Amino acid sequence: MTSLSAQARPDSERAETYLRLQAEAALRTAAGLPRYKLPRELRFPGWLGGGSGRARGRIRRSVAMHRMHLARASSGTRGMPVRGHADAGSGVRQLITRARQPLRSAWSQVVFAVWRGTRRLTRRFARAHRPPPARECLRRVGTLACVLTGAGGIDDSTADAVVEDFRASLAARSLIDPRELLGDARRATRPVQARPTGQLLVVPVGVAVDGDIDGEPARFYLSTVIVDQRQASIAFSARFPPALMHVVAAMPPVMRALQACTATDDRGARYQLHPGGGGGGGGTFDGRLDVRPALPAGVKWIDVALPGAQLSRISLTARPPALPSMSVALPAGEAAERYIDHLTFSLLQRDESATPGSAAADLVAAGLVETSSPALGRLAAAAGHAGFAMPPDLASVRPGTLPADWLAMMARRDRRDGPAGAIPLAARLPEIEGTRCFLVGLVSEPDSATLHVHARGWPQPHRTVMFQVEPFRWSARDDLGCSYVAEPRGSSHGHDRADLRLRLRPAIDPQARELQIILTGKTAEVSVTVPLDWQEGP
Amino acid sequence: MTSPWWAAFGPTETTVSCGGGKHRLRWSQGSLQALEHPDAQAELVLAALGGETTPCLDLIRAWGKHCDDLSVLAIGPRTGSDELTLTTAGIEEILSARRGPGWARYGTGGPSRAMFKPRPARRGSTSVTSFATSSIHRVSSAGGSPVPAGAGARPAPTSLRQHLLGAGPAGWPGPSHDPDRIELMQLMALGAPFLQRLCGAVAHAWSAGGQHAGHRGRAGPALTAALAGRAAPAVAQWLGVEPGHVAASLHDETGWGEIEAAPGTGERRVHVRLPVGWLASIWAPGLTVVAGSLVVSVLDAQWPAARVLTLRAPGRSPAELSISYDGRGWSRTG
Repeated sequence: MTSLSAQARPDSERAETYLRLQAEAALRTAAGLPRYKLPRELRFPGWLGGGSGRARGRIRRSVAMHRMHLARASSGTRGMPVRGHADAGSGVRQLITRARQPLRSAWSQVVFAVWRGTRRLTRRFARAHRPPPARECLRRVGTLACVLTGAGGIDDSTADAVVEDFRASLAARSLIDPRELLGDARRATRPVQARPTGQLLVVPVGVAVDGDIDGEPARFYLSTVIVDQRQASIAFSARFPPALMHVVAAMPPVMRALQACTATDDRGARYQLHPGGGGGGGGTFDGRLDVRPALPAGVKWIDVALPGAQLSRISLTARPPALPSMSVALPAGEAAERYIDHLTFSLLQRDESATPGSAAADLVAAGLVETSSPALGRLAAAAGHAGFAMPPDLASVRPGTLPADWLAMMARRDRRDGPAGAIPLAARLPEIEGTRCFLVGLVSEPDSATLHVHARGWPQPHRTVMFQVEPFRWSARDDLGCSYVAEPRGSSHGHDRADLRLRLRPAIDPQARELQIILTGKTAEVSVTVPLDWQEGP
Repeated sequence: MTSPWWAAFGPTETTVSCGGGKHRLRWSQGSLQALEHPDAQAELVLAALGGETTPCLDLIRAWGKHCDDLSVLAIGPRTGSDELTLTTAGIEEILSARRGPGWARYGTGGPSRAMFKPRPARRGSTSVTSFATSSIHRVSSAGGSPVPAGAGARPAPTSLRQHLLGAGPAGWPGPSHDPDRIELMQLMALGAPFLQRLCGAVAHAWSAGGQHAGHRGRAGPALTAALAGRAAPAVAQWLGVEPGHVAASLHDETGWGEIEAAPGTGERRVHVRLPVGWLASIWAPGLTVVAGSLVVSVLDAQWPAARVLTLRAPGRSPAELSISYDGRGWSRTG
């Protein structure tokens, strides 16, 4: 552990002033732009009651109920409940209700058909919704707020206040949708970040099985089991033909198949498995299956029945090996330099031509970084490698030297020799800024790898996707001296828990024997080193 | 300056729907009064103890709460022609769209035209602004009499507080917005004359002699931006430069401040150092540029007349000028 640097903290007042003055300039620009135009709507036919707002609400509910009915019918579960069924004590009332049901169903079908036709016409002929031009000004201010927050120049609440006031300024002048006057509802309902509590056990599994979904071949890989006082969850990966992710009757066949999974414990008790989070695309799905009800204490193993696959036995008594981990405090005065290094590091693996130069120029203008900073030198060097020009304000920055592990990463940029396999990781990172992270799986493919992380106390996303500030940054380094960029590829959140998917690039070196996974926060950096013992994967 | 910050403002009035009728709100001499509630203070105390409240009282209370709120300066107008399009009816509609009950309110339908205030056909410099769809029907500044309610007006809710707290059935998503922000929007919907005065009150609260003088804390950046956003257009109008070429900073010492134009043959850049009080006593009553000169200080004022210090050009010494308000704007009298 190193002690905190005695360096001066960044001048947050100057950084905030810069942000607010940029917002003023953006408002002047926006004032010259066209006002927000209401999307032109085609009204629902009056003979179906499309006149009043209340009637429109009834129609929407009717349409939604009809869609739900279709979804249930296709999934084989019970149909739409009949109103009054619960208290249908008298036979006469039951008869009336049954007689009315076909009429209701027919009416519902008519409403649904007309609604669908109107929606198609609207999409074809009505004025399409286009983002108002002033939204670009909001994007500029929001992005700048993210940059200054990420670099430690201002705190989250200041950034929120400035962006929300700017959003309200635009909305109050009808330069963006006036419904944005009150800000982002998700921001207002942001849950308080919970401190991680309670014991949590991660059990390595590492079982791969073949199955089928609707007659199509599928492969499942059960990586680890996460057990706490309330719940047990199985981290898994699935591979299948991409067509199985296409929505049929409101749900992809893969999700329907996963919802039907069951488990049986060593005492004969049965459990239902529910997809509790995850994501994917293009024939992959990585996520978590929650075991319901909760497993009682003392269960030694469970047999899991996956779609079309033989039973997979999961031992709950295995324990993960102790792995070497580290925790290092970071100097507060170097937050902006670290932020620029993060941008530069990510740039070395990025395909598109987007440059972090403007962000660096903003940090200089906000007084968070000097032009003589070595981090800017590294950015200039990376810019030279990537073939883009630095912004005019930073044209005088002399290119510096890139670290050896970054150069090794660049050298492997287009390699497709990654091992095809998986590791049932059950590694715990040291606690950092109130967050506990568990590595629960690593799946390697020829061009990249996917790291699965289960976190407790992870900050909930509270801004719009547009202005999301990542609370932590991930990276990796192998024992051969090559670094890896870890890009977030999706996450799911609930209560104080989160499941993260990170894409590691370039492809993991097949000669590497160990991988250090690094998590960097605002005040500290933690890491754990895992052995790369590849097994048969999904 | 010996006069209070509001000395260059005339009174202004508007009507709001309250208790099934139209009640008058009047701003004069730095404070907002509900004319139909002569004992508003007692009613506010009763409301705080759990008694009934009314839209008039809610607005009075919101005014007191937000008269040092820096968001007023961040959102409010920057120039006389920078008019907000907020209406009370529009705010109500946004609230009802968000309040629920139930999923049917979420993500369905677009904003309606009632959310927008029709642009006035011609911008008058002073007096009457009509709100076609608002429950606030007419604003008459400079002491004019209020105009009765127009036809087709939508009544305001019985209480703003009920509006803020009115959730749907238990278990359904309720209002997820910030009540302070809604109150602020309701105040801004009172109309431009009130908004100018609210901006003045906020600026005064943070200037020398205001309630936050001496303990500004972290308000410096917000005040700098508020000054820059308003001084830049004024200086641009005065000198014919681009507003983007005007840099502004706070002047915290004695005196009116400093304005200097950077020498050079290229784009003319101007640096302005003015106290926060400039926003309250000069910008808010619309005194910024009079007779081709920039007003930098008010020596004495008693509406509709004032004695001010003005600058003919950057770097020159300020000169005294007597001005008066003629119903359309301020002009030189002596």
